[in-house]
Amino acid sequence: MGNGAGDAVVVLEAVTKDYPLGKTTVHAVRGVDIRLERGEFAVLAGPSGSGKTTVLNLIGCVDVATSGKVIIAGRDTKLLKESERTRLRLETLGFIFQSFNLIPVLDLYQNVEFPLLLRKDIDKAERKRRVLELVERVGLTGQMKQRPGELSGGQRQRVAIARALVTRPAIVLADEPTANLDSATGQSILELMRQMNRDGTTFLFSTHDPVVMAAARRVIRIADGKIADQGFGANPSAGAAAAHAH
Amino acid sequence: MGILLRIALRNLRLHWVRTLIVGFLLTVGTWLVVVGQGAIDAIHAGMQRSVVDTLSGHLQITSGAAKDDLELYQSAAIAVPDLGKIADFGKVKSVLQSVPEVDAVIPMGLGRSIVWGASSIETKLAELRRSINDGTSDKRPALIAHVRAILKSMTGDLDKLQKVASDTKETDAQKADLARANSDAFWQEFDKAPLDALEFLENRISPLGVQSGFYFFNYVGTDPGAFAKNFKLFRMQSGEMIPEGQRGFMFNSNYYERFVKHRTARRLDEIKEARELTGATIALDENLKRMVEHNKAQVSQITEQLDPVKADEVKVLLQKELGSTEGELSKLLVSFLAVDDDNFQRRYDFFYKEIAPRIRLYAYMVGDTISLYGQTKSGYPRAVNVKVWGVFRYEGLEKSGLAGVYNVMDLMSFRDLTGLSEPVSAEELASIKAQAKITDIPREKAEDELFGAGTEVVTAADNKTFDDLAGRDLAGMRKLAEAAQNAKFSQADLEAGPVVNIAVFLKGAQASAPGTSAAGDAPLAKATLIDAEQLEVSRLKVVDALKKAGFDMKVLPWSSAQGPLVGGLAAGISIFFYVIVGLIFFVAFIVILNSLLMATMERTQEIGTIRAMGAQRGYVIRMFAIEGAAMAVIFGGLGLGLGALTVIGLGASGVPATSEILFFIFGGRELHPLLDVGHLAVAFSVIVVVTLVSTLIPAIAAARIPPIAAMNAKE
Ligand SMILES: Nc1ncnc2c1ncn2[C@@H]1O[C@H](COP(=O)(O)OP(=O)(O)OP(=O)(O)O)[C@@H](O)[C@H]1O
Ligand SMILES: [Mg+2]
Repeated sequence: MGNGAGDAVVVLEAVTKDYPLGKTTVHAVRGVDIRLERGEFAVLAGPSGSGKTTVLNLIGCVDVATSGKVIIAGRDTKLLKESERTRLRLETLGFIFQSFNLIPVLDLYQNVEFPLLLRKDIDKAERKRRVLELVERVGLTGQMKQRPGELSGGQRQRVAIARALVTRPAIVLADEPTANLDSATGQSILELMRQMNRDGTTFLFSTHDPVVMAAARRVIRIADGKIADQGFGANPSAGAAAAHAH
Repeated sequence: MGILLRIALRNLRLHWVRTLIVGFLLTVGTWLVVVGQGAIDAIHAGMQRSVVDTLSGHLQITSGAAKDDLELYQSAAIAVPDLGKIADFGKVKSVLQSVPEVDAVIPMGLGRSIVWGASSIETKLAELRRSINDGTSDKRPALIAHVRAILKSMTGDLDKLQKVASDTKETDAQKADLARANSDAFWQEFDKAPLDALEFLENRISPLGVQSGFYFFNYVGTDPGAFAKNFKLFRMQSGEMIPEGQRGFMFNSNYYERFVKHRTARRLDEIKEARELTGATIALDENLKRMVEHNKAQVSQITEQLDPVKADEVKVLLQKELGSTEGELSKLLVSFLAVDDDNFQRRYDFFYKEIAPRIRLYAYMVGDTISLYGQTKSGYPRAVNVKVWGVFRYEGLEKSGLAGVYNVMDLMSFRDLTGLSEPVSAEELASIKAQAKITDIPREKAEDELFGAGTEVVTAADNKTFDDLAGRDLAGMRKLAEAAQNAKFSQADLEAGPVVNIAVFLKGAQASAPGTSAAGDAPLAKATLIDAEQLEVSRLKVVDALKKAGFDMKVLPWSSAQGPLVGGLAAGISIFFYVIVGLIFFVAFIVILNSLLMATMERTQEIGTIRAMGAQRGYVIRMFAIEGAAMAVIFGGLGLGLGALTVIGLGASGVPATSEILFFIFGGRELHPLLDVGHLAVAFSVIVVVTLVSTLIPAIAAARIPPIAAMNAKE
């Protein structure tokens, strides 16, 4: 496991997640240990149904583990009340969704600004500064007044990235952010995320696309709800997994 | 907050069909609350005016021993309520006037008499009697001709009756009387002793005539001067007030028009009213059609009243008017009265110009004398003759049947008629009998003794000519009755005696009458009416003063004194209104609830996303609440604005009363709803509560959407 707990923003210890399914139980995650340091740019890779989304939801505090520990920014999520977990999401986490999930009735600017409006500690001027900066960084300054419905898929995901980053979260989670995009657009989105990562934001996203995996610095492999590979360093299994995915 | 409002407004715009449906309901609901309340307030004021300023005053006082409740407008009841009596009005009055709040005190008694409508023979005999008394002999031949024509038709009627009657003995006697009256010999003798002949005709023949039904005359016995002065809607319509210190009767114009007027004329009036008031047409309105048919079927009511000369005049006029050569008057009248929408107005005018002056337009006219029959509490029949002095109306309420219930009579006649001045209890009666050494009076004799104003036993006088009638000095009795009818009295007599109830007007309440302006129905400011709290305070002071003076009395506010009918009506209108408003808002509630629940499901991912991004549950609830509030403000505001405009508009133009009962409820010819800031506040509160409550359930459902809902890929 990791060396030195100080900088870890995400720590999963022996985490399991069971879903009741009729009379049976689905063991979606069966004892996972993951540790992400600040500034990491990691991919969670695995075949369909392997538990990628489940793990991301646990880290994203939108779901709670059946057993084990999920520690986000030093806080054990199991000990938190629902409202406190919500607060943790607001202050620490950013989400990029597979289907972008922009608020349809708001324009681009307002969508990016939205998470800041949930925070009481950021004034109007600061909000504007941050939104404009991020919109510029995702290259959509010209489309500021457009609604999500008037944007392309790639543009929408850029808006979503800007929105995820506008609160300056410690961790950005993205569940298959490129799955709904063509490969060229997916590449540019990936590139954008990497740029953002340079500022120190930790990124964790899931994929089963080898091209995406190739872009990551660390590829955590998951299969049948268990970590197959923590993906440290030049792990020879990376290529094998990529080959396997093909 | 800004962003939530923006989201809310955008959502409203996005789902514009839903927004319009909900918005329509909310607007209509709010509009209705504003207008309805304005109308209900005006109705309360109107009803107060209709009750207070026609009959009740602000307070009504009855004896504490009253067995029944005072129900001024309980006209449907057959029996006059037993209200006991207030033995000495004057004493109570002075106690009442010592209360500073009391403005006027009016003595009253409510009663009802059956009056048999005069048959055509009675009416003609009365005219004949008048011509004999006046000594005007020029009209007499025509009158006699008319009487004889009626007698002939009565003989025919009696023949028909005899065929179906079981007791032929009685009809045989009647036939004999009629034969005698019809004989030339009788009329040759007539001029020799016309009054005796008249007595025979009036007593033996008149009862055989077909009476034109009977009337229930409701009356309030009162001090006519005080009554006219204090009941602010009172106006004289024709004739004159009963002079001070004199006995008499005044018709209520509504009663007079509806029940005393010639039926044919009345029906024509009703057709005219319906056409003007509600725009009904004879062609389409079954009721009007029926009235036309009745008029056609009852032309005898006109022909009977025309003596041969007048009948001829009318025949010629009708022939000309109708361009007809028909020689029979009744056939001409049938085709004349077969009115339609095109010729109605012309025929109506013709009727009043040519026919009405030749017939008796009202069964009782100013100057006539009415015999009112009543019964004392102890059960003795009484009769009082009263002169009709005039016809009064209630300003604005001329068409209200309720306001038309009571005619006015002087209090002295009322006391005689109802035996109010006499002891009522069995013990009292027994003690009087003992004093007078009267052991028992058979009912039939009691009638003689107590009949009319006469308590003296009328002594028999010889009457050779009409021996059947011997044993009664009929002319003497008639004179006695006339003397009683014309007897004057002083204000002190009037005040010192007993009354049944007392109307009290309070100070501080300005006239609620619309004034005497030509416009009649100036909009009535709410402030001019006495409000319930002020009334209650004054009422308690009156109660207190009476108690201190040792009187046991019931003091009722006008709202209770009017009886359940009117109060129930007001309550009914309010309830109807609240049910309608309730229904509209219930539908709005269901539609909002339903559409927002659907919207919640549609927006599951969006809400999940917002939650995932760190919005608390409360934020989601607020999001929905603001959407509801936005609807409430937009459509509630629209409804308030439209409602206020409607009320102001209606307040200025007035809502015309289109049915008989509405005149009473409106307190006049028009209702003028009043805009009140309180109404707007109530309406707005209602709409806010309705929208918020209907938003709450979907909002809670939305707040339960877990953030994980954001993760479910949709595309
Ligand atoms: N809410 C749930 N109820 C029941 N079973 C679930 C639920 N969510 C996930 N699972 C099951 O848990 C397992 C892991 O699912 P998960 O969505 O994490 O896989 P995944 O790796 O994200 O797959 P994919 O690549 O298809 O998105 C699967 O077998 C799935 O059917
Ligand atoms: Mg998944």
